[in-house]
Amino acid sequence: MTDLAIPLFLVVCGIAVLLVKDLMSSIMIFSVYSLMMAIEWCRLNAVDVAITEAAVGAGISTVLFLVILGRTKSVDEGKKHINLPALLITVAVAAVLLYGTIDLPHLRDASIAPNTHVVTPYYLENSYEQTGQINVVAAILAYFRGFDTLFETTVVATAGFSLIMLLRAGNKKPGALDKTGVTAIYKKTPASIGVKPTATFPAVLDQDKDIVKRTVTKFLIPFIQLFGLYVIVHGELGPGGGFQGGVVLGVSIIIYSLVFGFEEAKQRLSVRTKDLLVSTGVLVYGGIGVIALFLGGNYLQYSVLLPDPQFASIVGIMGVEIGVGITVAAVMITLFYETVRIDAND
Amino acid sequence: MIELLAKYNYWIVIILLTTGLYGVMARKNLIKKIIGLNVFQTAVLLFYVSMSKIEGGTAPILLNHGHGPQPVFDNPLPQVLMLTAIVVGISTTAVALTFVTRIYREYGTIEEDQILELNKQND
Repeated sequence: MTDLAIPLFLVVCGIAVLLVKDLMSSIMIFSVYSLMMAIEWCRLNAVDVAITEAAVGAGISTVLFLVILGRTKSVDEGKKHINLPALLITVAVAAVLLYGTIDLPHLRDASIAPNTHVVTPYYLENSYEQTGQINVVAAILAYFRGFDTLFETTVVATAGFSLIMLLRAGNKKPGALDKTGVTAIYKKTPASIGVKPTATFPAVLDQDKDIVKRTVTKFLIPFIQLFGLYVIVHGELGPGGGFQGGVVLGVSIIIYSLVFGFEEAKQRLSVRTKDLLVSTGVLVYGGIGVIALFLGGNYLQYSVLLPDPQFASIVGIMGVEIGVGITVAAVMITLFYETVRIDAND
Repeated sequence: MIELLAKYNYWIVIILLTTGLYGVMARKNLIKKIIGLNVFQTAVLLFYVSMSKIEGGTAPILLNHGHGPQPVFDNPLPQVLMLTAIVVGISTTAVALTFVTRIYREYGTIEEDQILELNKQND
């Protein structure tokens, strides 16, 4: 029954998100949507995906949307009339996709192509012999598809860097020459078309004085961080790995700065250290590949790292997971640090 | 029940996908557009992970270090791909939201039609 009910609830949330006028409620419904999605991943036995979704979808992305909302406006002022061309295109796309499902294989069937094609049985059979990983997801992530993961990590780091560049270069008064050499001449006058200025949030996140929040946060953070580290290093034996643990670690710092304020959080993890950590993770990952090259193997061939090939794979994959964890955690903190620093009154 | 479930998740994916698509096209608010894009993204993730589920399968974690009889495992490959896609997705969403704040700083609004009107006035 829940197999039917949870996806249905997802649809209700998905539609409600776009119908609600107040952006704050919209973001909250989206958070619930992500949480339900995490439950659905669990029901589909995708436990690694569930950990990531719970931390990213329900945690980081909600905070991120709220921070951005605080820097812009909280009401969707658009009129709620139905956009006919968009509706027609949507219905047409839905019709084409529905027609396509006629040819798609039945779900939950073990004999369909995605499950019987060469690679999946190969991964399941050789996971332990070749990599020493019991969690096949971790084996594929770091070993069989190690190049893929290396560049995924690079994409995450690049997103972090572009965020830093977009926001730090922009903290200038209008009219001043910014770093790209373009003068900000496009300072428009919203009042001329009847846009009311809205109250802006404080430029820098302030400390929360509520003693309950402070005590609970202080008590919880060590456990959250311990769990994050556990998830990173436990990836070979159970659900977990660099991406999942990295987001959990990132969340712990975000909670800390939400409650104790941005200034206090900077004392614990400075902006400069965090910037360095973003690239350190990718360096660790790429570095392990280069070490393998020097030891006479192929790029990212972990088995040459130590005399015992299987143990070498375990060590190599652990190193790679730690590298991924560092970058992902640092980028998640970057998303938060850089967006709360935006000066709303500029 | 099995008959119904055979294609059920496909329909859910299609509804979510088109909801997101309509949101991106029809909503004028930029933050709403990005939320629509996120709904679209999760629909794609759901499509892949639904494919990985096998009737009676368990999470792909080996028993007894891969020795001896093993239960039926769900397909781990789509799970790996979607796991990284979520983290990449939040990073790119953050970049998009940053663009929204830059737009707000320049125009003082995040409504698409108002921005277009301001552009027209400035020309």
